[in-house]
Amino acid sequence: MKVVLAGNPNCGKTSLFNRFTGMNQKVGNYPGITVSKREGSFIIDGEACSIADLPGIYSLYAGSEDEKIAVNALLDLQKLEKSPITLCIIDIQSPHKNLLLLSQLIELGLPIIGVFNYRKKTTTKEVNDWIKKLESKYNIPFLAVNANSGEGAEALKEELKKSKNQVVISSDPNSKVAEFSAWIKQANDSAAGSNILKITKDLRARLEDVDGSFPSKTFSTEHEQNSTQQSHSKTSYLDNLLMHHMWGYVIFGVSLIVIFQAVFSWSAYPMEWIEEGFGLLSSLTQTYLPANFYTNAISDGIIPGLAGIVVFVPQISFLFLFIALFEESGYMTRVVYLMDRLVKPFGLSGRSVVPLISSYACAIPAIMATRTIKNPREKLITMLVIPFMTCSARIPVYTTLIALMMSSEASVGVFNAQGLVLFALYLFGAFMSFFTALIAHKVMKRGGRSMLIMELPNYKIPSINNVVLTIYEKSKSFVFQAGKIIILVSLALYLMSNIGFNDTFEKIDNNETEFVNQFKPNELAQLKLENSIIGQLGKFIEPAIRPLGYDWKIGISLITSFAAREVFVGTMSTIYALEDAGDDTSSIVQKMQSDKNPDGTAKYSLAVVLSLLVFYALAMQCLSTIAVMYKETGGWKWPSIQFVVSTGSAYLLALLVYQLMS
Amino acid sequence: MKLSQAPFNKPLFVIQISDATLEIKLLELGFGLKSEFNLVRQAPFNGPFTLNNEKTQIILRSEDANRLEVSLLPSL
Repeated sequence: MKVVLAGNPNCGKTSLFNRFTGMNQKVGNYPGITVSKREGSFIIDGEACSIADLPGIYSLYAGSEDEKIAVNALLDLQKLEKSPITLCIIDIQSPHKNLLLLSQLIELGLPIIGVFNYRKKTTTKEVNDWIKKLESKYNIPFLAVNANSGEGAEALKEELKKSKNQVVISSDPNSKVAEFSAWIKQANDSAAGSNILKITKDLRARLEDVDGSFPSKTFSTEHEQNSTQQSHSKTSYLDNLLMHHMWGYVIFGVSLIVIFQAVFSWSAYPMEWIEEGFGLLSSLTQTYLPANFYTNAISDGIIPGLAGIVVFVPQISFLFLFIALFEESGYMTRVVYLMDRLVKPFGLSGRSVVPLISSYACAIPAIMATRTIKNPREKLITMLVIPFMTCSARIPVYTTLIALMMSSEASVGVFNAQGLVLFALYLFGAFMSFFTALIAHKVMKRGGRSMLIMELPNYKIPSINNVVLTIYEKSKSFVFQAGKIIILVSLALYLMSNIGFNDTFEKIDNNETEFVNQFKPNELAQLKLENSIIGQLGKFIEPAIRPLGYDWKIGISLITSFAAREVFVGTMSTIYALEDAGDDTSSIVQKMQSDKNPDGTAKYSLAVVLSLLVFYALAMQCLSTIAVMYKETGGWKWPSIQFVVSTGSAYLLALLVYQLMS
Repeated sequence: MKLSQAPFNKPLFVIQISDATLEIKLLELGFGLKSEFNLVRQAPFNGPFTLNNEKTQIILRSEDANRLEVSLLPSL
């Protein structure tokens, strides 16, 4: 059996999908959380059922990419010999909007079950009476389910069992179903304007029919109406503050500062524990495992590399905590309202703000979230500038580099100085995004008319469960995605640092006493690394990066971090662990701080660190982002332009910073 | 009068929408012709308006608000 979930945005489809499948797909409190079709499965009486969750739509007239995905998926159901059962989810608090889509789905002739999603614990006789009235009007089954608590889910499964033998009603080209399908296809295929008046007239007639037959007030129970009114008044009270022409912006700005302070201050202790834990693990490996090549590869290659990533989980968790709270509470759409006018001169829309804020977490879902932007030009500009925003993968790089410049104790007034520098880097990323958007806006050909119409959901108290799940899923994916690359890169680095083809390397490797005795152990380890394959590779690119103040060790990290920028820290950890001859237990920051040039000056001077910060702020160092850009734009043109512009500007600006500062 | 010229927090109703795509999107959200609503607030620098009816609150850009012809609901 196959089941499809359709309904308005934010009506509870994904909650029901999670309830059925036991999966943890992201839900939220703003329209456009689901931008692609998601699939899962569940069991009814031992039989496996597949279930698909579609992006939210208000009608079968699609305006944006995510809506087109849902409408096309529903139209394609008609082509199947045995159509899946469509569950049309109706939010019981606003049925007048939801019934328009339901009436259109029924006209498509699909096997449908109407599912009222309610938020409170009980359904009353009044709701059941209305369900009976709707059943007699539309001749399809209706049920009431609480998608969050799962109440009514078993009854829905029973109904699915009963309905599983239904098929598409008619394939007769002269039938009403075929006529309506043809109309919907024409409406969505035709260029805007050519057929639009007919569509409007038809939708208006359908809406009047729906509204006239079923006055919306009577759908909710008295209890739910009271609760809705309370929710409206709370929302109105909060909106007076959060959407205020002055306080709205002040609160938004303060929220951003609090986030960056939390990322640094609150996460300091768990980061310290993780660092110590990995240090202990590394020394235990050396103590208890037999002394051989494999033990060294684990303790000097894999463990330091992984530590370089896992240590940043507390910071990333705090970032996702705040983004989840913004989305869950309904505040994110208020940000769209506040920011729309401010971002419009840059060729962006208020809807661009949600992907841009999401890109603080990761550029990949952020680029996918641009599917909700209806104007293709605004959508493309948003996608092009998202990688300049400071994603969570930059946090490990920034944190390490900032720690090289100043102590964690340093403060400016009540603010932690490291936190302020991080905030400045976030501002720099945002500035470069908007600057690039402005250039693209001036250069690119003007497209169709831009429009912003968006529903503002009522505020709700974020579900702790959803917030915790979001943090867990995102942190896990960060560690595992980066972890896979880190393990491979760490092993490759270890191998390449233990193989060399020149005389010096062979003398050290063969432990030639006459040569070896000239050096201290640390000098010898460094000389070996310098003459290994990886060292030679770093030396090979050194002439290109020397004008930026970088040496061959940074060169190695630049090469490895083109796959994913966070690999920089893991690579540096591995290089310095290899170089210390196994007797240095200090952190990567301490090791980098104590690294000196031949003339005795610090290798990581302020000029070098600032140059590196600028390079990592701008360069396109994420293969996954390039892949998702290729998928979303349908070709290599835009990802190529994006890569050349980002990385080229990163090189030039980093060069400028180093030359001016040194 | 145009919606962008209408007073805040007074009951209004839509008498004409001069853009068909806009009309479709408003219809979908329950703000079709003859529907009653309030103009609640506007973001600074001629930013978007918020409109609400009994059930729904939406954001609408000021350029789009100029495409809506509205009238004050006569008081009873």
